[in-house]
Amino acid sequence: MKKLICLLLAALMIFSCACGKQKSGADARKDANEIYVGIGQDLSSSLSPYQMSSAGTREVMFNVFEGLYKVDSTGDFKPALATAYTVSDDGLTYTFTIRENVKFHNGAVMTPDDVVYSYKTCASDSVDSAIKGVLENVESITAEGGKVIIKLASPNSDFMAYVSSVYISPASYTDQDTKPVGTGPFSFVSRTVQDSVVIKRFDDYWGEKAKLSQVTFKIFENATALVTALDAGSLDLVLHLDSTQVQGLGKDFNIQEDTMKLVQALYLNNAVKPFDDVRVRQALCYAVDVDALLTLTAGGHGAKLGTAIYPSFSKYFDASLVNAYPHSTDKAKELLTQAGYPNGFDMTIIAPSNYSPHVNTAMVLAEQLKAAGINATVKEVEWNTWLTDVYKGRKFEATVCGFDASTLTANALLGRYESTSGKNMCGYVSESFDAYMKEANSITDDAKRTELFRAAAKCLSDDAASVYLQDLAEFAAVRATLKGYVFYPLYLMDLSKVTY
Amino acid sequence: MKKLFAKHNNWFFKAGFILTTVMVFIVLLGQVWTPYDPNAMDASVKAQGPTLRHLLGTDFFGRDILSRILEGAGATLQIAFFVVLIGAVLGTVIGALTGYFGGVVDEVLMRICDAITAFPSVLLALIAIAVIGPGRLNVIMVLGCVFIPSFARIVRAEFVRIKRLNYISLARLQGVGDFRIMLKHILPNTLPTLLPAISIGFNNAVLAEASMSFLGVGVSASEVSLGRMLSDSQNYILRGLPWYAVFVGLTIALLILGFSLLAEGLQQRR
Amino acid sequence: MNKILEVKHVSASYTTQGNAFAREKVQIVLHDVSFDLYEGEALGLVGESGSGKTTVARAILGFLPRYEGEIIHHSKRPQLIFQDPYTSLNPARTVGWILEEPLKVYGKFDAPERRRRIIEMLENVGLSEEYMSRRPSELSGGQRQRVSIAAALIVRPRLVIADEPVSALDVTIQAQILQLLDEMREKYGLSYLFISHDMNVVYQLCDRVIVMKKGVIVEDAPIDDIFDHPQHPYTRELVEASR
Repeated sequence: MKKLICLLLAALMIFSCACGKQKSGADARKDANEIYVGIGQDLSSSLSPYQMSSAGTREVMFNVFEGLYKVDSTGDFKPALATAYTVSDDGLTYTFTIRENVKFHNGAVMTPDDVVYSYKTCASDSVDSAIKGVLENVESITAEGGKVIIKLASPNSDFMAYVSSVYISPASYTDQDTKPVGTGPFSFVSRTVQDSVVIKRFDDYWGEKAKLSQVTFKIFENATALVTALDAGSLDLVLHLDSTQVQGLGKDFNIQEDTMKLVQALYLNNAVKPFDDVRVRQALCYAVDVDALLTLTAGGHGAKLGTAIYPSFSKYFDASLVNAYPHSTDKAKELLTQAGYPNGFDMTIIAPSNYSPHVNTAMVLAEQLKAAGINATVKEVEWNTWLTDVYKGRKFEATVCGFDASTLTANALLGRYESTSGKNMCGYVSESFDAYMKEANSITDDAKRTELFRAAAKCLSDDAASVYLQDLAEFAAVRATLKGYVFYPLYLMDLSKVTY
Repeated sequence: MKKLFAKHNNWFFKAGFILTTVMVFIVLLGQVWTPYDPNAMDASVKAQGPTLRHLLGTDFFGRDILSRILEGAGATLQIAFFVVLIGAVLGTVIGALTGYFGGVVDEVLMRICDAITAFPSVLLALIAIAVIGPGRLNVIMVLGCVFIPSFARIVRAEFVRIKRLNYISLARLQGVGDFRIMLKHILPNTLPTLLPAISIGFNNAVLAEASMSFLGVGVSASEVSLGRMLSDSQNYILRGLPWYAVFVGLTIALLILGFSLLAEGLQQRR
Repeated sequence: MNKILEVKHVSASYTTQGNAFAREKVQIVLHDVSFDLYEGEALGLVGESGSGKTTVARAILGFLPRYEGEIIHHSKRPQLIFQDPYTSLNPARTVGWILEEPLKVYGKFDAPERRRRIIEMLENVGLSEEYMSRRPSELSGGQRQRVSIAAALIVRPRLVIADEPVSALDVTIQAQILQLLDEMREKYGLSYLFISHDMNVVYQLCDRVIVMKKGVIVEDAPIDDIFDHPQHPYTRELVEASR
């Protein structure tokens, strides 16, 4: 009997939480010119610019650190701590003119020596293997007057994309792990593990100063708690929400739609039966109805793919591939029959349990595949299990997940399909794909490169390396009184232009 | 059955019996017939409130909530049944052996039981699931094992009490063997204590399944269970669509109310 | 006459557990108890509570884990009738089941034979066949004790130990049960070891009486001698109290 009463009380509490909204906090924050931002995970244990392993940490610390060049909201690279750069004709020597009178948050003035120190530290310490790999290609880095000269061993037409990711930190400063110091528009104030991170406006910023005086990132590892807090008015800005989460948020918030800049697919293990047969993989492409998927999971929001490039990466995106496999159960059955599976087969789709969009997609796909006679079971696994078993161990038949681009380069998305790549989770092997990729990476002519990368992307579609689904729609809930929030083509959150 | 009614002719027993019977009947019906395919998705009726077509409304995938509750309650009850079966059978065996024979094994096993019951059962189950992984079978095994100590204690106490009674001494004098005494002479006399414990066990098992699936360590994504649905329904409450949570919560409440009343009724005589 | 039971120099004691406040203490409950029981004899064992008479019965039945001395049985499966008819019958079972169980364990009889014997025994103790389907909770104290007697006798023992079998019953019922025990002795040639605190009850059934006090036998004599010429002052006291 006691239990029942407890249950009823709990139900009441859920209701009162859902209904009661407290607004007073929001007004107080407006008066203080500060905002609370909700984030879905704690930052990495180290905040050092070379130790940030998670996208969620990079997203926040983007406001604190800067490189010589900085990506802007259109995907261009703009001068930041360097005012200009020149490249030698052989593409091997980059000369950066270092901006003068730039102050670090600790008051020190930035010098070319700090830049050299930062590049050397990044080359030896960085946990990002992509950046580390590129910096290994650097033969020498020297400071000369107000310039920094970087010499490469071989040309790399993506080099500027990496320059924007090498953050500059003061030489011989040793407290980056806990008290990070950079040159960005905001300086780090404090961090409470599992609770919050506070940054404040840096008044000696070299460029256009931030509008807000202070930003507090509140950590909510439970998505429901995050949305509840937003609903209750204790947060002003939350990114990466899905369509159901922003439903009914009310007029206190503006909802801005974006995509997550990732390639969500039903990734197939090309190395195991029956997915080693291209006809089976193509049959799956036909059996899946991506439009219905978008309607069911996101109310029709989201961008269809067709290959391993997302649409906002327009340089390499080929819109004609989107409808390469129009939904057709008959075609799917026909291909399955040809492949020797007239009655379909059983398969297991693994989904990382902490990413509900992937789990939801997997559930819808399992339902859609039934029509073609394929009996799919969804198995949820912990993220760490997914990393070890599926991503590294390649012990899977099919999995729903999303791959993003760590830098704005075609290699970041396509490189993982090269037969020799350690990241080739799907075990995709294609001689023509390998040839296109190899050639693209050996030349510097941008137009020709682009053409080759596009051809490589078409190989993935033709061979149905996986069932490419969508770049997921995501939504930002921004308090209606706030202005100036813009999306980036990368996983970043720029708060410097946000204002009341 | 008649005898059970004669012995427990009280309000709790009647109400609990009727409620449990009705719920179990509905759930069994759900195993052979549901208004819709519980997994069929229909984008045209996404996230609707109760309508004539969908009596309890639909979820975000346009799936019929009534059908899913019927199927989910079936899964939950099935899990509860096997959990109680494992807990009651193994608990009875352990309790009977330790209670009857006593000695060092009894001491050791009962200290282990003390240690296990010192932790909240769901917490223990969570730890175990973290080690062996989620899934329906694992949940059944883990919860079943977690439920053993409570049954073992109850049965042990009864065996310790009853084995000292005169009729057991007489049976021994008549040459009845130890195992026959345990099975045929003592066990039937533990039923008045065991039956309410089993009923409470059902109650706890339903709640434990709900808690574990709610925390995401229960049944897998392609399966339906009440706990899983309650977990999903959180998102609906926040989006101003409370009926999903209400209906699922109500189903759980009715199930455990039935079992609680039944247990209460079995404990009270007349 | 043949001996059916010999009790030779039996002593028993138990040790109280010591603790912070009390030293451990050895409590003597039986001291050098010896007697013989003959075929067809009804031997009364009399004493007040704490005299050790029940301990003697426990030792004879093998319920006493440790004692000194020797107990020799000349019969198989001695049976016991308890004082309290409410705890001596399994409440979860019917009378028929309770009577059939020893026959099953004995294992020599098929089902019809077992049934025949049960009905016969029920009739012997004055109960009809219909009692087979009753449960102990549906019976009166006297009826229960009849069932207890039937259960003890159904395996055809030659020695029955009765531990105050009538002291929980009304006086009229007492007489009936004593009468029944007497008839049974006659019919099956039983020997009784009849434990009681009540000289009157013993007088109605027994041929010989052993009087015990504080674990020691103080007198062992035929019933008439006990009543007419009690030797020990304690015996005298008991006889006086019963008049």
